[in-house]
Amino acid sequence: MTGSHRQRRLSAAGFAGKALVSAVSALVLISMLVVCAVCLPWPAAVDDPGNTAASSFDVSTERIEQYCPGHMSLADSGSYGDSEFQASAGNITSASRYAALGSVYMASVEGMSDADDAEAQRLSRGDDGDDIAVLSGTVDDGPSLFTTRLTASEDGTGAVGGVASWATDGDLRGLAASACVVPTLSQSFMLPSTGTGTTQELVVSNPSDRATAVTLRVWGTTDDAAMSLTTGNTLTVAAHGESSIDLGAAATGQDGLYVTVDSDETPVAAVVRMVRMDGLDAKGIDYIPPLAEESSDHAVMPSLREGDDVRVTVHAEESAQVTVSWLTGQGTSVADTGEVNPDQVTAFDLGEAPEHTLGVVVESSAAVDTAAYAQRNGDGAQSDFTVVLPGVAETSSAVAVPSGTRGELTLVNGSETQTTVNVQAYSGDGRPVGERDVDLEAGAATSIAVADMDEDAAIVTVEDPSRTVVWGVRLSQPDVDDAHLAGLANLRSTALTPIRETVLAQPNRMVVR
Amino acid sequence: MPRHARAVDHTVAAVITVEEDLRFFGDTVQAVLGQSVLPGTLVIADCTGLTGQPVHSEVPLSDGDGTRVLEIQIVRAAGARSFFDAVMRGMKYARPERSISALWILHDDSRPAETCLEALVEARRNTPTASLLGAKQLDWSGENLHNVGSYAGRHRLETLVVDGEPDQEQYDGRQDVFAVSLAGALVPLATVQSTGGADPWFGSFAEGDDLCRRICLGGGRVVVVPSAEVAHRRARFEGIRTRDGEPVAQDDSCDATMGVLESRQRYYYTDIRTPWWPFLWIWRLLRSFAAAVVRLSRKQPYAALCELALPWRALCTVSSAVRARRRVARQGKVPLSHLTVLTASRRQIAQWHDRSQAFNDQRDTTVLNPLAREHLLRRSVCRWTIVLLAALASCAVVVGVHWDVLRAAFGGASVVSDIWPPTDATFPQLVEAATSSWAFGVGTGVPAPPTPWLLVLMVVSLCTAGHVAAATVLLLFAAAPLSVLSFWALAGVFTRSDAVRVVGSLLWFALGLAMGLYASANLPMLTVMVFLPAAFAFAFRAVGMYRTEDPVKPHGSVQSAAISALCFVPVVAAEPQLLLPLVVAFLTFVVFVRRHRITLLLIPMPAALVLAPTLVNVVRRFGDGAWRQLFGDITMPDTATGGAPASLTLMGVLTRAFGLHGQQHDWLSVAVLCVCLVVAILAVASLALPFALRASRMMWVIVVAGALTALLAVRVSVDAGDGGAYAGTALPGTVMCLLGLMSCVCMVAGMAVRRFEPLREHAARRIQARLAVAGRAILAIVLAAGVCIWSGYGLTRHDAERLSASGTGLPMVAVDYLEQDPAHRILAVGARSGNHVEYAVMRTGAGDLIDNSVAQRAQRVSGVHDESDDLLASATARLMANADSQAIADIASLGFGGIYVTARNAGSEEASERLAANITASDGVQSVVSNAEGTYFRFTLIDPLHQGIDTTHQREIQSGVWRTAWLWCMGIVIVLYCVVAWPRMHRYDWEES
Repeated sequence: MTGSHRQRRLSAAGFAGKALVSAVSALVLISMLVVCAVCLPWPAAVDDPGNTAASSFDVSTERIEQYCPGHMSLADSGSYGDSEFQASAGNITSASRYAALGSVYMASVEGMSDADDAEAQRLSRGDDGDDIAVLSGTVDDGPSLFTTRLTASEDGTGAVGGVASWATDGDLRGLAASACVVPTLSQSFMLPSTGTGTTQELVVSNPSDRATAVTLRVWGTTDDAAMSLTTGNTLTVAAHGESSIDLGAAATGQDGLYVTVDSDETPVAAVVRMVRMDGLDAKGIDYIPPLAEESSDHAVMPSLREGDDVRVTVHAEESAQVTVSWLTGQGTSVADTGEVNPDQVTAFDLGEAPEHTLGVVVESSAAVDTAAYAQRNGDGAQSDFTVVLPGVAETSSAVAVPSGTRGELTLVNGSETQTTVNVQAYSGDGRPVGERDVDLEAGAATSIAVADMDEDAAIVTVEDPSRTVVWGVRLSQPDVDDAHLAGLANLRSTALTPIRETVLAQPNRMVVR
Repeated sequence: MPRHARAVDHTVAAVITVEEDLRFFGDTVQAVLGQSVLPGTLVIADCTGLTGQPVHSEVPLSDGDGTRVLEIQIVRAAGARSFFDAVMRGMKYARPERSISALWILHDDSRPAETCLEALVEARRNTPTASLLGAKQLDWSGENLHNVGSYAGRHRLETLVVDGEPDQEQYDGRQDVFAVSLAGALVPLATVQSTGGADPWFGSFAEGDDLCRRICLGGGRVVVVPSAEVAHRRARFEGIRTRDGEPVAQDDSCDATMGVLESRQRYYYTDIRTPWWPFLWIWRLLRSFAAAVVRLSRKQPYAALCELALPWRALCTVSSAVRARRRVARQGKVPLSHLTVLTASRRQIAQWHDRSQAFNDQRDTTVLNPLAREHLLRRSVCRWTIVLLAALASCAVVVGVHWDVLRAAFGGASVVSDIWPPTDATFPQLVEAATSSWAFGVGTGVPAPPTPWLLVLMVVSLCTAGHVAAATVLLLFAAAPLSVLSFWALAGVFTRSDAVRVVGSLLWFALGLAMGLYASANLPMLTVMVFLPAAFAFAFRAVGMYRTEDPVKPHGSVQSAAISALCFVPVVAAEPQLLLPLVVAFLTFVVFVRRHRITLLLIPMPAALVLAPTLVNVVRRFGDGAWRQLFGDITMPDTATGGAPASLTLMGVLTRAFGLHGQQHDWLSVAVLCVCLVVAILAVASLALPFALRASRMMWVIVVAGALTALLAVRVSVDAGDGGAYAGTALPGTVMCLLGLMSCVCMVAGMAVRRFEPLREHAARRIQARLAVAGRAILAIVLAAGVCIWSGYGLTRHDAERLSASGTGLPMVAVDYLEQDPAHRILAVGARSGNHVEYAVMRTGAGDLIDNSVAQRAQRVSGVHDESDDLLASATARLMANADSQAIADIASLGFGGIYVTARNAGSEEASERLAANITASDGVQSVVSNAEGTYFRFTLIDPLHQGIDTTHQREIQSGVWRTAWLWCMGIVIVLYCVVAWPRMHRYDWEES
């Protein structure tokens, strides 16, 4: 082979090699970019140590802000169709009562809607040293904001409010009542069945001057995952504004709902206004306030009575064995047992409450959220219902019974030991009108009509040093009863203990611009 | 000359030393065998060690007389330390004839002229007293001079011949000189015996000088014979042969400076009496620094290193030097002052310097024909006009959109956006923050490495006479034209098409707009946009891989390497995460470039030094999550730019980088991503271009590395946010990826060099050329559409993070208080809502940007807390809820002098009022100023004279030895790089861009 031949072959080989290396390197580089664009390797390899910039501080506050919902109304007030078949609010009437107890500097109530120009109504206080500051009125003009400023944060000091709403005519026949609620960043609700004709209007109020976005998560009875609502899972609430969403329509066909409400920026107050109709028949109204912060494995729901048609809904984060019992003056009797799947709402239909029933106890192997739904029938096809939430035992707590309603206390000793509580009643103008010590055996319950304490009794406080007694007030309304309509509602006790507030503090360079 | 006519001189033996490199040996042997007077013996001294036993052969010279033979001996000279050593070792193995009285010693690369030996022998006969006879040294072509003997200068030798000047026999009058080159010299054996031969310790470069010095000082004569010519390739001296004798190609020639300088130093020391040496050494040590700087300014970094190393190498060889000096002293009988004829005078040396300078200037200038120069001038006027117009246009866009900010800036305001806090810092405060490992803005301060970008701001502040706020404005508005120029320079490396270059650089500017960098005052990213393309452009120029105008040839440049290194400094200081892809890019470049690899090694050092505190902290506190600070920059993470850490595909990264996630996907958003896609497709085409095989692959490695960095950065959390962590910014990686892609698009435009045609023939343009022009026009139109889409999107969609000028900041009385003492602090608080309060530790009137520590944010997200900061958080939270005198006392106990409640910028006015009311109701405060902006309270618990935070730890760290060492190292290295990067004031250094 000659030299030039060899050289030519070598250069040909060199060219081929170069072309091969070029092609391979180009392919490798392009495929790497394509892989970057399309593939997602190790999707879990994300560095998130979970620390937030804001430090959270639990500080005691001397300022209590409470939100008291407005009177019951129809979620859909549009008028269409024949006038006979139009929904109507009828003669809806409301009443409210506010009381500030203990070391109170000042307490006032103002309407939510016109926070800027409305005159705030001050709670007035008698001259006697034992008197408390009180105010009663209505919430016909919409929800109100009840602000109390304390001089000291201690047991026995606090504020309590209650609203009631009733009608004997129209589609809202029945009685509804709720204690005022404290706005928080996150809260949860336990709601009864969302069958046909049910309206569950979640009203989210933002008492602050800063708009916020609220995220809803809803669990139902049919599935063990959070549902996506047909109306979207977020809600924006303007400053000093309200937004509402009908959960009955958004998550229809469930036997019960568990709902969490989380606000991004500012604390919000939320209450569900529930109205049931069956065709043209009114089936009752009620307010459903949020659940207490902590779930428990021993939930006591007072304020149920013989003849109530009771259904209990339970939600747990882990699977639990649940026993539901009737609570009577003599003790408990098992009504139903069952298994609760995690992240799924389970309903227990207990049927009609037996004789001497004062409440329902839910015992479970794990912490659960629960609520009892009680229904009674009235004349015609009318019925009314109330949703009773588990009570929380506190050293000092109170209930304000709205004017025009009658209340009946139910006191339940949830512990294994005998205990004594002191029940004190105040009149509608703040005078102490009656006091009684009540002995309760272990696991026993008793009921006292508020009127039995005194004719004028309107505000009831319970001192329970052992923190074992759960109590509530079941309401009735004379006008409704006189019309032979079913009318039932209940009020939870509100704690009169030092208020702790969560404040976030966060460094930010942009504070001074 | 016919063979039979030649004489053979049996008194002379020629000795040729030879090594592995045989490129010149053949010519040399041929020339020796072709001499008019042949040596009786030819000894080949083989230094390679491959010759074991000596080989003897006799070549009869066929002129009829049998007695005339040329004896050739190949002998072993392995282990020789110098040329003369090799000769002596060779002669030990050789069998010299008895008649031999002189050696004619030759390098393998010194080719004697035909009459060389004849002239030498004749000169020896005529001057019998000569101890050494040297030849005239010419270059390999035999036309230009190296030297014709040397004269004694001030402890060195002066040839007084300009190296490279044509030989016109102008020095042929020389006879007695102080020294001659040993290559081609005739050494009488008597001289070897009397002097002991050359001292191999001096090495090949100086042993001859030392030998000649001993001969002259010992009363002998050294004679140069100008008629004896030797063409000397000086292979080792010119770097085409390694120290071990291996051949090196001309293009890859190594640098022999070290050897030359060291042999010169050895000669220098041994020329002076030993007792003087210590003083001399100190003088030489000081001189070495100056010499190094001079070498750097001549763009000779290796020579500068050699200069610095010289004094220390001298220390290592003291004993040998003493021995050599003794030998000189022993053999010296005549003082140099008596040898005036052999000494070069000052005037002669000065004259020689002038002539050398003139000769160098003349030689290094490429002589261009005037038409070519006219062509180049026209081209440069054309392209500079276009690019300056483009830069002006980009500047006008930014100024026009943010005119109100610019106007306010002249009133002393600072720029503010959602991610950019304002600044009211003074220059000394900036310098302190940029150079101390201390985060001032957290509680009473915590140790944390400084944010590197502050060094960039510091340098820019020098341009604004120390006004830091003005420097931020300058950076913002100058970034637009500078980024255009920067990418234009990079595009010029790949194509000379003016249209593609200018449209490409406008696309680069539009990319900044589309990413909202101007609207959000993202100055670190703008720094990257300005310096990253320039850094790559100069890196390509450093290794000579660039296109340029027609008659000019690309060449490597140390100066470009230094500029590139300096350009990478602001890039990594702004976005330290770019260090990762840049390391990959650097390694790729080292693999891919054809030559000047060593030059590339210059590039990473300054960037590494500037980042040193950060990198050291990352290594030392790796377990504490300090590595997260690499992925952050000085901007405040924000949901708009950062978002939560997530694993994303490149699509997700692009969506985040362009801020598309919050928007409805309308046609403009889709078009923005389509531009990226088109650019990527064009870049794929560049991989197939045969003329850009290496460059396209290098840029593609940058594309992939940038993309991977962006994918990595969005998974890392760099700061704690409201509801979780904030991810590192995806912008640097994305920008780097797009930079690579856009460079490849420029390659697709082809070289587009406008040929210099002295005689233009319009009709002769070929179809192919026309097609290329049309293709480039289409490419430019496509890119222009991209410019419209990106800038349209940027101008219309980045309103959320709208730029504004800063407000009034703290009240005057508070600023006065802060200025009294650097230890004074004020706590600024603002209520975001009724249960969410924000606070900032203030030491300046507004902001402050300089206290925004990346490292400290990384600590926070990693869960490292500072006690004083926690106390401040708790106290502000308590004040939000209630009037709390204890909270006030807690804040005051840290040394704070007051508290400022801002009303205007807070989220909730009601909550702010409540906060102010709570503070008013607390003990120990006094309201000083209250207006619509906010309320300032003074603490009355501690006397204002004794207020101030504890700065003991801070001062300890600031006076630490590490900080001093870092600052000195960084300062010196940056200055040295600036010296190398500074353009030389000679016309021939002017380079085409």
